[in-house]
Amino acid sequence: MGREVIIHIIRFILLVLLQVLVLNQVQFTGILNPYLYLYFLLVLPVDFSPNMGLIVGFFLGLTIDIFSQTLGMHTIATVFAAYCRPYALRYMAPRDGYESSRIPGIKQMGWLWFLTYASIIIVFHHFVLFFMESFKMSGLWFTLGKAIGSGILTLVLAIIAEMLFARKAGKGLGYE
Amino acid sequence: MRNLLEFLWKNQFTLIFLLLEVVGFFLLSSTNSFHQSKLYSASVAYSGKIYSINQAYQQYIGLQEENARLREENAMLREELFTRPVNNKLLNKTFETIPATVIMSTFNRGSNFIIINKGEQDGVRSEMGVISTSGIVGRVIHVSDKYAAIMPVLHSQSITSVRLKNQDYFGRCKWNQYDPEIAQMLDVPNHVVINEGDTIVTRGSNGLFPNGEMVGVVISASKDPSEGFQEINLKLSTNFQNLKSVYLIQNNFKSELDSLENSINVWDEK
Repeated sequence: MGREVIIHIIRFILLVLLQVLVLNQVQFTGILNPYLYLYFLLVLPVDFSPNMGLIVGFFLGLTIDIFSQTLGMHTIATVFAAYCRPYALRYMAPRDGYESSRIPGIKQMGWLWFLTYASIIIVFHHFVLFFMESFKMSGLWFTLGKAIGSGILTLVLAIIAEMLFARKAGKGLGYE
Repeated sequence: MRNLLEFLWKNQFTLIFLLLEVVGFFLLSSTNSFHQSKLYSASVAYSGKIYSINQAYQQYIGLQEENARLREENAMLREELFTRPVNNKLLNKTFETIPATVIMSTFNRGSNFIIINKGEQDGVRSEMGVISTSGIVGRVIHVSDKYAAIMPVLHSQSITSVRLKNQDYFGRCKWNQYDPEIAQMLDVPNHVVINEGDTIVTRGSNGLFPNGEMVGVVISASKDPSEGFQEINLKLSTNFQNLKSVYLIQNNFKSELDSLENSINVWDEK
């Protein structure tokens, strides 16, 4: 239990630093920006308390906001993503439940499952985020395009992170 | 009562969600309307520290290029010093500049920001104008002890008072959030003849910038008969994508100007 919490905290710090020091500075084509910090929320254990998930999402968004001078924007989007997460998990549940694994990752759940699951959460998060950012309905298509483009980048990075850092099924977090 | 408690308990997930979202919206609205909010200054102070550590590593990468640019500027200033007779003493006294280095900036969002390494200790105050060697940058909105946050022209709420350099028609410069190199000039009537390549400079009306600071160059102007005003796109002369050195402008008479403006507003309300 203790080890698991420490690994989560380290992952939290690393993802926040990666986001604010690297990803927020690297601009693909000028207007697209991946938000990989969402990966932290994606790979929380399946049985992680939804209420705690909301609170973790709140602090994750707040931390990113403090570093991006956008107080509120990422908080709202990330809390919304955390709200969607249990529903996405329930919707995606295998017929015999999540017994075989507690981590929603590629290695545990398979490619197709992870792509669908991650896309759902990333899409909701990015749409909310970019609407908060522009805060107007004019330029709707521009905002949607930006959200989809950035969402694809986030998804690609999340898959890369998954391939680099995820442990093999059966050895994942929470199996001690 | 029991039913209510039961209902709340059953829906605790959604209730926590709504509560946190309300907090989020509160943060969003409070920081948008009150530029002086303490929360924001604290956030600048903490993030500034981390970014300045990061910047210490990064500054070596662009050092040569930056050196060259500064040398160029030096030369230009020296030239000006020699050729210009000492006739604008008043101007020199009105505006003083504080040099600063950008330690963090964004340009790809709808509302961008810049953090610099000078703060209250160095005499930076909120509502100071900021320029670079090539043109205007924005205005200071939050100040902590050692750092300050700038709202650049590339911000949805940024409005700068500008004018055409060769004619004295003026208008507002805003940014439509699409392209970090292109801003819009509003409120220019249809009858004004504007050519591609016309220079846009600051008007200096609110004391943020001196009159005549470079803003950009017109790249397209189209007349809109229904509005009565032209749609003007201008290429910003400041390159926000590699901004490093900036100058803060301290207007020694700004408080005087502000109180005068306020007295007009008070009079208007009556």
